[in-house]
Amino acid sequence: MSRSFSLPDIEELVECYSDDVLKICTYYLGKRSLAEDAYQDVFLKVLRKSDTFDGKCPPKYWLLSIARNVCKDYLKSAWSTKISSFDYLKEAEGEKASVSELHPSRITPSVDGRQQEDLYFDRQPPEGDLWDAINALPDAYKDVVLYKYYFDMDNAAIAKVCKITESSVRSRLFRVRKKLIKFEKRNGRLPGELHEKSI
Amino acid sequence: MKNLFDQQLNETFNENLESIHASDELKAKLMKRLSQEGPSKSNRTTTLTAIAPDFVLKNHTPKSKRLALIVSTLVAASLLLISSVVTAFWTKTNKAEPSVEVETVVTTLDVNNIQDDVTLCDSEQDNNPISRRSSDLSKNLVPRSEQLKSQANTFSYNSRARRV
Repeated sequence: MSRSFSLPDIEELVECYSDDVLKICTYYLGKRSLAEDAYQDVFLKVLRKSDTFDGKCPPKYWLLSIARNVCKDYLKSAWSTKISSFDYLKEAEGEKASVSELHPSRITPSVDGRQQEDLYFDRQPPEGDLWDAINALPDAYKDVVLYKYYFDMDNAAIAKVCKITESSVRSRLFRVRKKLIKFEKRNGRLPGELHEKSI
Repeated sequence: MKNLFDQQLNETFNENLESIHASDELKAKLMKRLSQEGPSKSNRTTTLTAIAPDFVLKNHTPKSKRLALIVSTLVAASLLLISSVVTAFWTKTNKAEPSVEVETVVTTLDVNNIQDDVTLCDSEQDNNPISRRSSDLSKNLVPRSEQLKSQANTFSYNSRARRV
């Protein structure tokens, strides 16, 4: 059964889920200004595409899915693919490392997900913290980590939001955890025995 | 033990995302944009669903009534068309009869009457400067009445000659 939202309904959604949407946008896009633009686009899209809401899942999941798609569109857009952040360039100059070495997932879109991930974990600078490691993950892995560890969603809900199967969610989570634990261990922040027990 | 790393991840997310809040200014900006732009043209039905069902029922005409309206309009239009065609035909036939009468009048005209007409026309032309100039040019031409008279004379002469 489809249900459409009117403007007062959207106002209610804005009141309830504004912060969540802005958090997702900031998480994916990094920049606050860009995230605020995406946040507005999310609710505009909600108003325009309200007839596509089937009512099978809670509106929050539907909203999160839209936010995720809007952010991915932003990342795919010409502006973000052609213009790289000035901060990245400064970092690259300081450490005499190329931008692609620091953020391979953003700069090398032609390489597939697993290769990007491997590339990142192999070349990750040792001073980066766990948050940097999460941010540098490929988008497919970023999704599952966010929904699992921030929104406390179960695998079935994550599968619905990301439009993948539950087994894919499980395998992605397993791989991400394995990689992140490896990264933490390399940086000396995770004891060896905990690492072994964690996975 | 497995939960330890999960907990660490959870804390990392909380540390970095909990501080993010949508300001009232941003919400106001969004609401303004939502009310301005609204739903796209392709999804106008979205807003229509928000209209009260009573209003929709009140303004909705049943299908049979709509059909009756269409049929009556068509009948009226066809009647108008037929009447206009009949009137046009009637006026055409009425106009055709006087033209026959004119022809008969022309054929029964007398030569003397023609002469009178010509003289009348000449007198009218004299008053008009443009027609006066044209009459000066046509002075050399023989009037129609004169031509007819001469024809009549030659005819009578010929008939007399034949009799002789």
